[in-house]
Amino acid sequence: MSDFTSLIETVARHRGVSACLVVSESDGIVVDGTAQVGMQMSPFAALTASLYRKAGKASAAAGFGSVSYFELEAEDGRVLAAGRNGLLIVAVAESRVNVGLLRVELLRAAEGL
Amino acid sequence: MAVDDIHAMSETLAADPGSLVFLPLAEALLARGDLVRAARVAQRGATRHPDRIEAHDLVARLALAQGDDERAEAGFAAVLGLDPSFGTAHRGLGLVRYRQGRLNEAREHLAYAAHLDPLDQTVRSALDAVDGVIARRDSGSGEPAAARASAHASEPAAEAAVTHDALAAEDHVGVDAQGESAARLFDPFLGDAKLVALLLDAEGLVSAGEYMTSDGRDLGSEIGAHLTGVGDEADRAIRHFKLGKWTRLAIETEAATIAMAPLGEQAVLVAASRDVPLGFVRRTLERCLAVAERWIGEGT
Repeated sequence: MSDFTSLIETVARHRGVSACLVVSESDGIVVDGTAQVGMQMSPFAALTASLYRKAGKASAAAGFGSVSYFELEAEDGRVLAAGRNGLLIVAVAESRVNVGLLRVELLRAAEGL
Repeated sequence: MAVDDIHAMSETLAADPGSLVFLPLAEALLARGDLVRAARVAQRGATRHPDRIEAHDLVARLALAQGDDERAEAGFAAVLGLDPSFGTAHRGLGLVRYRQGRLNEAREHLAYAAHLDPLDQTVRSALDAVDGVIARRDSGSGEPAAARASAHASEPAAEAAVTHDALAAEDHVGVDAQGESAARLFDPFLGDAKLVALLLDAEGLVSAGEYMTSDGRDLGSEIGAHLTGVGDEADRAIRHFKLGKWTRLAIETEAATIAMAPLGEQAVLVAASRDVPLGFVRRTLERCLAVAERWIGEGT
């Protein structure tokens, strides 16, 4: 049980959330997480962190400051992430998830990172 | 280009490092947004084939897409050293000079590139933006951009006298008329200084829309360069969770909200001040997507 277990459990409890991870932003290594059986967490975490970093570079180039929240919508689901102190809390969810609620929950969870 | 084709070309190149297959391979990797591998392949090819103009051009274009202006400039200079009339080098060097704020040189290169390829929307947009900035710099007036463009078309070609002055002056009116429409494509849906919208091509260059700061800095090009390939990377990430293709991306930062969506190999991006509600940003993105789709359709 890590320092982040309670944060992860809070997010993962939302209806429609199939995975929740805490990931290092700089290298995409999984710090802690839970996912449905059969999901490949490591490559997903690495790619999500890479996307987050790319978003951060674009934001910095435009003078928008650091990224606080990131959401990738796909045909059959969503990936949401919020970051703080070099860590990201990432959730994978179904399309029908209550995005507004989950966003607030992730931003709140990120304050604990 | 299928992944299998890329594998096949990689194997061919591994078996015969002197093969020219590095050119289509690097182009295919670029099209997929894999800029790092594409740049590596192109650089090795250019080193092995220093007399191949296309190799240097590819290296330079990849550097431009990666936001490495210094390397891009060196690459395009190498191309023009081999062939002073090579169009994409003028296009690329014009964009580099634009980012560097060397506006007269940018205008000169872009006008020549536009002459060589009148259908290149990116060049038209960039040329229009350069003219707009030059006009603001020179006059400081708020006159309409179209009027500024016309004024530039008829003024003595002293600024562009070094190489392509007559060529640029001849073509300027038509180029600016279309470039202006590209730069202003999304304006009817923005209507507020807190929102900007851009259409980015597969290389991260701005095809339509405009994001210029009050001091003439082109933020659109910078954002585009950094977000190049984000779609392919997004697809790779969500493949692990079998979520299908990516359809929308939202980024919230300290000062702004950015929403983005794919449109074929291109992407539409809307950026808004942080106090604009996220829902409104998404709604604006949908409208801009629709107008960009129509605009692309009209151009083909």
